[in-house]
Amino acid sequence: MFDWRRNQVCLAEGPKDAYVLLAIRPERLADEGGDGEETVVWDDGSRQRAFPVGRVLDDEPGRFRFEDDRGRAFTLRPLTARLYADRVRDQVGGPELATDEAVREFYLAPRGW
Amino acid sequence: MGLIHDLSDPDALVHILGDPDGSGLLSSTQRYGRGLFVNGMSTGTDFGTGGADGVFTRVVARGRRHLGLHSHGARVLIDADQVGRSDWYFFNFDNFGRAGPAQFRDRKLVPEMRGTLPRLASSNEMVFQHGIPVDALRGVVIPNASTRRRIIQKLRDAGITEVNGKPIEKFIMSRERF
Repeated sequence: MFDWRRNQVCLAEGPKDAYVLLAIRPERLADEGGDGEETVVWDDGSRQRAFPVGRVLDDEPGRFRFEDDRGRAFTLRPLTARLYADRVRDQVGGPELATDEAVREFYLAPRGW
Repeated sequence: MGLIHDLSDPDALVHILGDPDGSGLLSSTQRYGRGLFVNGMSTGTDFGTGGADGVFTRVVARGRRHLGLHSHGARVLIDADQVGRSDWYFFNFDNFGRAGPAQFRDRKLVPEMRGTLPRLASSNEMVFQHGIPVDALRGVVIPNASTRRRIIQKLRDAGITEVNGKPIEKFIMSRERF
């Protein structure tokens, strides 16, 4: 089962046109989403994103895959320093972050907006 | 019907409520221009979607479920009269801030909103161009009591003792009072 408490900073992979990249403090909420029973929410660094869960595709300690109620598939994985360097840094103009802990600290730090 | 905007970092309220022009909630492009922008966040990708020009809110309606308040962050309550502006766009789902021609089929306009409210999804997004002024803010809810006290003190230190005629202690509400 995905470790929601431990995986506070994740790479969010979604549809190609989704432009979702970061999932900070993701949560799986019951009874809060539209007509669905569950909603997955996260802070993407700019605002709260919310996706009512249509069905869960994969639920492992280091990976959570689901389809939302519109059939759009998303995957959450803990954002490691390697994933950050390969997938995130160039897209967001972020600083060099050499360790997994540095990535976590950077994204969980207060940012003033 | 109401409008809400969730802040990840309650400290943003010092910028939002303390702006001398009363600009309030600002889009990514507006924040970028004012130096209130942290490189490294997904905000950068907003510039690829068109979402960078907008402030993202969610519509809430009586009798419909909406996303609850959580222990971190803050919820800004916005005057529903803002809907009277003609510069918003609305989708009844998280549409990643996109609003181009390919999205018109799913975009709801004023005449369609009444029919949409009874089946409002908690993931809806109503995006206002550029910003939402302080004048249009009705209050803020900060669920964490110590965070609320700290933010009120920071606002006081910045010389902000009331907002839109309300004492700051009433404007910045606890979860219980909300």
